Amino acid sequence: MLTCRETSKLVSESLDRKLPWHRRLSVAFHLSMCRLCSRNKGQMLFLGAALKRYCREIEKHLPDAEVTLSPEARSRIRDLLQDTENSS
Amino acid sequence: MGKQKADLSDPASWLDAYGDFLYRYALARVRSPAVAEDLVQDTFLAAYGSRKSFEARASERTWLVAILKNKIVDHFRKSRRESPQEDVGALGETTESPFDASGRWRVGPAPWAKNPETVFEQKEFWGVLQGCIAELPDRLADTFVLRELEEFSGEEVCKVFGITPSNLWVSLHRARQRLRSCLERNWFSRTEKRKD
Repeated sequence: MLTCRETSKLVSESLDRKLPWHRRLSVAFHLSMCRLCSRNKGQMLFLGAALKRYCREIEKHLPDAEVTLSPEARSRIRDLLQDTENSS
Repeated sequence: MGKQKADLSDPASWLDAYGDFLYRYALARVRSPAVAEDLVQDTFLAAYGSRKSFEARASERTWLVAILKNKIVDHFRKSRRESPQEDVGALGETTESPFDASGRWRVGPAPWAKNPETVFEQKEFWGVLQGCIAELPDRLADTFVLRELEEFSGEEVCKVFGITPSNLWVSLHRARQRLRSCLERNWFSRTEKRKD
Protein backbone atom coordinates (compact mmCIF):
# COMPACT_ATOMS: atom_id res chain seq x y z
CA MET A 1 0.00 0.00 0.00
CA LEU A 2 1.17 3.51 -0.78
CA THR A 3 2.37 5.74 2.03
CA CYS A 4 0.76 9.14 2.62
CA ARG A 5 3.85 10.84 1.16
CA GLU A 6 3.63 8.75 -2.03
CA THR A 7 -0.10 9.34 -2.27
CA SER A 8 0.32 13.08 -1.86
CA LYS A 9 2.97 13.11 -4.58
CA LEU A 10 0.77 11.08 -6.94
CA VAL A 11 -2.26 13.29 -6.24
CA SER A 12 -0.14 16.31 -7.19
CA GLU A 13 1.21 14.47 -10.26
CA SER A 14 -2.34 13.66 -11.36
CA LEU A 15 -2.91 17.42 -11.74
CA ASP A 16 -0.15 17.48 -14.37
CA ARG A 17 -0.65 14.23 -16.26
CA LYS A 18 -2.90 11.18 -16.41
CA LEU A 19 -1.52 8.53 -14.08
CA PRO A 20 -1.20 4.92 -15.27
CA TRP A 21 -4.29 2.89 -14.30
CA HIS A 22 -2.53 0.83 -11.61
CA ARG A 23 -1.35 4.05 -9.96
CA ARG A 24 -4.84 5.54 -10.08
CA LEU A 25 -6.14 2.39 -8.45
CA SER A 26 -3.51 2.48 -5.68
CA VAL A 27 -4.25 6.15 -5.00
CA ALA A 28 -8.01 5.57 -4.93
CA PHE A 29 -7.53 2.65 -2.51
CA HIS A 30 -5.33 4.72 -0.19
CA LEU A 31 -7.72 7.69 -0.30
CA SER A 32 -10.64 5.45 0.62
CA MET A 33 -8.78 4.45 3.78
CA CYS A 34 -7.06 7.69 4.76
CA ARG A 35 -9.02 10.74 5.88
CA LEU A 36 -5.97 13.03 5.93
CA CYS A 37 -4.94 12.16 2.38
CA SER A 38 -8.52 12.68 1.16
CA ARG A 39 -8.51 16.07 2.82
CA ASN A 40 -5.11 16.83 1.28
CA LYS A 41 -6.48 15.96 -2.16
CA GLY A 42 -9.43 18.32 -1.64
CA GLN A 43 -7.02 21.07 -0.65
CA MET A 44 -4.80 20.46 -3.70
CA LEU A 45 -7.90 20.84 -5.90
CA PHE A 46 -8.88 23.99 -4.01
CA LEU A 47 -5.38 25.37 -4.60
CA GLY A 48 -5.61 24.55 -8.32
CA ALA A 49 -8.93 26.39 -8.56
CA ALA A 50 -7.51 29.38 -6.68
CA LEU A 51 -4.46 29.56 -8.95
CA LYS A 52 -6.64 29.57 -12.04
CA ARG A 53 -8.20 32.82 -10.75
CA TYR A 54 -5.11 34.24 -9.10
CA CYS A 55 -3.79 36.48 -11.90
CA ARG A 56 -7.21 37.98 -12.59
CA GLU A 57 -7.85 38.59 -8.90
CA ILE A 58 -4.54 40.26 -8.11
CA GLU A 59 -4.96 42.47 -11.13
CA LYS A 60 -8.44 43.37 -9.92
CA HIS A 61 -8.04 44.33 -6.32
CA LEU A 62 -4.86 43.62 -4.48
CA PRO A 63 -3.28 46.34 -2.39
CA ASP A 64 -0.24 46.19 -4.63
CA ALA A 65 -2.33 47.31 -7.58
CA GLU A 66 -0.53 50.47 -6.48
CA VAL A 67 2.80 48.83 -7.35
CA THR A 68 4.31 50.78 -10.21
CA LEU A 69 7.56 51.13 -12.12
CA SER A 70 10.07 53.17 -10.16
CA PRO A 71 10.66 56.72 -11.48
CA GLU A 72 14.29 55.70 -12.26
CA ALA A 73 13.21 52.72 -14.34
CA ARG A 74 10.54 54.75 -16.09
CA SER A 75 13.00 57.46 -17.00
CA ARG A 76 15.64 54.93 -18.12
CA ILE A 77 13.17 53.11 -20.37
CA ARG A 78 11.89 56.41 -21.77
CA ASP A 79 15.46 57.49 -22.62
CA LEU A 80 16.26 54.15 -24.23
CA LEU A 81 13.13 54.25 -26.36
CA GLN A 82 13.91 57.83 -27.33
CA ASP A 83 17.48 56.89 -28.30
CA THR A 84 16.23 53.94 -30.33
CA GLU A 85 13.71 56.15 -32.06
CA ASN A 86 16.30 58.82 -32.85
CA SER A 87 18.79 56.33 -34.23
CA SER A 88 16.26 54.61 -36.50
CA MET B 1 -4.59 50.87 -16.81
CA GLY B 2 -3.99 49.31 -20.18
CA LYS B 3 -7.33 50.70 -21.40
CA GLN B 4 -5.66 53.82 -22.78
CA LYS B 5 -4.55 53.61 -26.36
CA ALA B 6 -0.89 54.12 -27.12
CA ASP B 7 0.37 55.73 -30.28
CA LEU B 8 2.50 53.13 -32.05
CA SER B 9 4.61 55.83 -33.65
CA ASP B 10 5.37 57.26 -30.20
CA PRO B 11 6.98 54.55 -28.05
CA ALA B 12 7.08 56.83 -25.01
CA SER B 13 3.28 56.75 -24.97
CA TRP B 14 3.43 52.92 -24.62
CA LEU B 15 5.29 53.40 -21.38
CA ASP B 16 2.54 55.63 -20.01
CA ALA B 17 -0.23 53.33 -21.17
CA TYR B 18 1.19 49.92 -20.29
CA GLY B 19 4.37 50.34 -18.23
CA ASP B 20 2.83 49.77 -14.79
CA PHE B 21 0.58 46.96 -15.95
CA LEU B 22 3.52 45.10 -17.52
CA TYR B 23 5.63 45.72 -14.43
CA ARG B 24 3.00 44.18 -12.13
CA TYR B 25 2.58 41.28 -14.53
CA ALA B 26 6.33 40.61 -14.51
CA LEU B 27 6.72 41.16 -10.77
CA ALA B 28 4.00 38.60 -9.95
CA ARG B 29 6.01 36.04 -11.89
CA VAL B 30 9.69 36.80 -11.27
CA ARG B 31 9.24 38.31 -7.79
CA SER B 32 12.26 40.62 -8.05
CA PRO B 33 11.55 44.32 -8.71
CA ALA B 34 14.92 44.82 -10.46
CA VAL B 35 14.41 41.81 -12.75
CA ALA B 36 10.80 42.84 -13.45
CA GLU B 37 11.96 46.34 -14.46
CA ASP B 38 14.60 44.90 -16.78
CA LEU B 39 12.04 42.61 -18.37
CA VAL B 40 9.66 45.51 -18.97
CA GLN B 41 12.49 47.49 -20.52
CA ASP B 42 13.43 44.57 -22.81
CA THR B 43 9.78 44.14 -23.73
CA PHE B 44 9.39 47.75 -24.85
CA LEU B 45 12.63 47.65 -26.82
CA ALA B 46 11.64 44.39 -28.53
CA ALA B 47 8.16 45.80 -29.22
CA TYR B 48 9.68 48.90 -30.74
CA GLY B 49 11.90 46.75 -32.97
CA SER B 50 8.96 44.72 -34.22
CA ARG B 51 6.24 47.38 -34.21
CA LYS B 52 5.81 47.09 -37.97
CA SER B 53 4.76 43.48 -37.59
CA PHE B 54 2.13 44.35 -34.99
CA GLU B 55 -1.26 43.42 -36.30
CA ALA B 56 -4.18 45.37 -34.99
CA ARG B 57 -6.18 42.12 -34.71
CA ALA B 58 -4.77 41.76 -31.20
CA SER B 59 -4.87 44.58 -28.70
CA GLU B 60 -1.62 46.39 -28.00
CA ARG B 61 -1.76 45.09 -24.46
CA THR B 62 -2.12 41.47 -25.60
CA TRP B 63 0.76 41.96 -28.01
CA LEU B 64 3.01 43.45 -25.32
CA VAL B 65 2.08 40.71 -22.82
CA ALA B 66 2.99 38.06 -25.42
CA ILE B 67 6.43 39.67 -25.80
CA LEU B 68 6.82 39.95 -22.03
CA LYS B 69 5.91 36.28 -21.56
CA ASN B 70 8.74 35.32 -23.92
CA LYS B 71 11.11 37.56 -21.99
CA ILE B 72 10.06 35.91 -18.73
CA VAL B 73 10.70 32.44 -20.18
CA ASP B 74 14.09 33.62 -21.48
CA HIS B 75 14.88 34.92 -18.00
CA PHE B 76 13.98 31.57 -16.38
CA ARG B 77 15.99 29.69 -19.00
CA LYS B 78 19.00 31.95 -18.47
CA SER B 79 18.87 31.72 -14.68
CA ARG B 80 18.69 27.94 -14.99
CA ARG B 81 21.79 27.97 -17.23
CA GLU B 82 23.61 30.11 -14.70
CA SER B 83 22.96 27.69 -11.82
CA PRO B 84 22.49 24.34 -13.55
CA GLN B 85 23.88 22.26 -10.72
CA GLU B 86 20.97 22.99 -8.41
CA ASP B 87 18.84 19.88 -8.12
CA VAL B 88 15.16 20.77 -8.24
CA GLY B 89 14.28 17.53 -6.52
CA ALA B 90 16.46 18.40 -3.56
CA LEU B 91 14.62 21.64 -2.89
CA GLY B 92 11.85 22.30 -0.53
CA GLU B 93 11.56 19.16 1.55
CA THR B 94 13.67 19.47 4.64
CA THR B 95 12.83 19.42 8.30
CA GLU B 96 9.55 21.15 7.53
CA SER B 97 8.28 18.22 5.49
CA PRO B 98 4.75 17.31 6.58
CA PHE B 99 5.73 13.63 6.42
CA ASP B 100 7.79 11.57 8.84
CA ALA B 101 10.52 9.11 7.87
CA SER B 102 8.00 6.33 7.29
CA GLY B 103 5.99 8.51 4.88
CA ARG B 104 3.04 9.15 7.22
CA TRP B 105 1.68 12.62 7.91
CA ARG B 106 3.67 14.26 10.67
CA VAL B 107 1.13 17.05 10.84
CA GLY B 108 -1.94 16.23 8.79
CA PRO B 109 -3.89 18.86 6.85
CA ALA B 110 -6.44 20.66 9.03
CA PRO B 111 -10.01 21.02 7.73
CA TRP B 112 -10.61 24.07 5.54
CA ALA B 113 -13.73 26.04 4.73
CA LYS B 114 -16.17 23.94 2.77
CA ASN B 115 -17.08 26.43 0.07
CA PRO B 116 -14.20 27.81 -2.02
CA GLU B 117 -16.38 30.54 -3.52
CA THR B 118 -16.83 32.21 -0.15
CA VAL B 119 -13.03 32.26 0.24
CA PHE B 120 -12.42 33.51 -3.29
CA GLU B 121 -14.73 36.45 -2.69
CA GLN B 122 -12.51 37.80 0.08
CA LYS B 123 -9.86 40.03 -1.40
CA GLU B 124 -7.51 39.56 1.57
CA PHE B 125 -7.25 35.88 0.61
CA TRP B 126 -5.53 36.81 -2.66
CA GLY B 127 -2.97 38.88 -0.79
CA VAL B 128 -2.21 35.93 1.47
CA LEU B 129 -1.85 33.60 -1.53
CA GLN B 130 0.46 36.10 -3.20
CA GLY B 131 2.58 36.22 -0.03
CA CYS B 132 2.72 32.41 0.04
CA ILE B 133 3.89 32.24 -3.59
CA ALA B 134 6.53 34.88 -2.82
CA GLU B 135 7.86 32.67 0.00
CA LEU B 136 8.57 29.72 -2.29
CA PRO B 137 12.27 29.11 -2.97
CA ASP B 138 13.15 30.55 -6.39
CA ARG B 139 13.59 27.30 -8.25
CA LEU B 140 10.32 25.87 -6.97
CA ALA B 141 8.56 29.13 -7.69
CA ASP B 142 9.89 29.42 -11.25
CA THR B 143 8.66 26.00 -12.34
CA PHE B 144 5.41 26.55 -10.46
CA VAL B 145 4.78 29.94 -12.11
CA LEU B 146 5.25 28.56 -15.61
CA ARG B 147 3.07 25.53 -14.95
CA GLU B 148 0.26 27.09 -12.91
CA LEU B 149 0.16 30.78 -13.78
CA GLU B 150 1.33 30.66 -17.38
CA GLU B 151 -0.34 27.27 -17.89
CA PHE B 152 2.61 25.77 -19.77
CA SER B 153 2.40 22.01 -20.29
CA GLY B 154 4.67 19.85 -18.16
CA GLU B 155 6.72 19.08 -21.27
CA GLU B 156 7.24 22.77 -22.04
CA VAL B 157 8.32 23.52 -18.46
CA CYS B 158 10.82 20.64 -18.60
CA LYS B 159 12.26 22.08 -21.83
CA VAL B 160 12.66 25.57 -20.39
CA PHE B 161 14.46 24.35 -17.28
CA GLY B 162 16.21 21.36 -18.84
CA ILE B 163 14.81 18.99 -16.21
CA THR B 164 13.23 15.56 -16.35
CA PRO B 165 9.47 15.04 -15.85
CA SER B 166 10.23 13.27 -12.54
CA ASN B 167 12.11 16.31 -11.30
CA LEU B 168 9.26 18.55 -12.37
CA TRP B 169 6.64 16.49 -10.54
CA VAL B 170 8.72 16.46 -7.38
CA SER B 171 9.19 20.20 -7.66
CA LEU B 172 5.48 20.91 -8.25
CA HIS B 173 4.50 18.62 -5.40
CA ARG B 174 6.80 20.44 -3.00
CA ALA B 175 5.57 23.81 -4.18
CA ARG B 176 1.92 22.77 -3.73
CA GLN B 177 2.59 21.31 -0.29
CA ARG B 178 4.33 24.51 0.79
CA LEU B 179 1.49 26.63 -0.50
CA ARG B 180 -1.10 24.38 1.13
CA SER B 181 0.67 24.62 4.44
CA CYS B 182 1.25 28.39 4.08
CA LEU B 183 -2.44 28.99 3.35
CA GLU B 184 -3.40 26.83 6.31
CA ARG B 185 -1.12 28.82 8.62
CA ASN B 186 -1.85 32.28 7.30
CA TRP B 187 -5.43 32.10 6.17
CA PHE B 188 -7.51 29.13 7.26
CA SER B 189 -6.31 28.84 10.86
CA ARG B 190 -6.72 32.62 11.28
CA THR B 191 -10.17 32.79 9.76
CA GLU B 192 -11.23 29.86 11.96
CA LYS B 193 -9.92 31.73 15.02
CA ARG B 194 -11.81 34.86 13.99
CA LYS B 195 -15.02 32.83 13.93
CA ASP B 196 -14.43 31.55 17.51
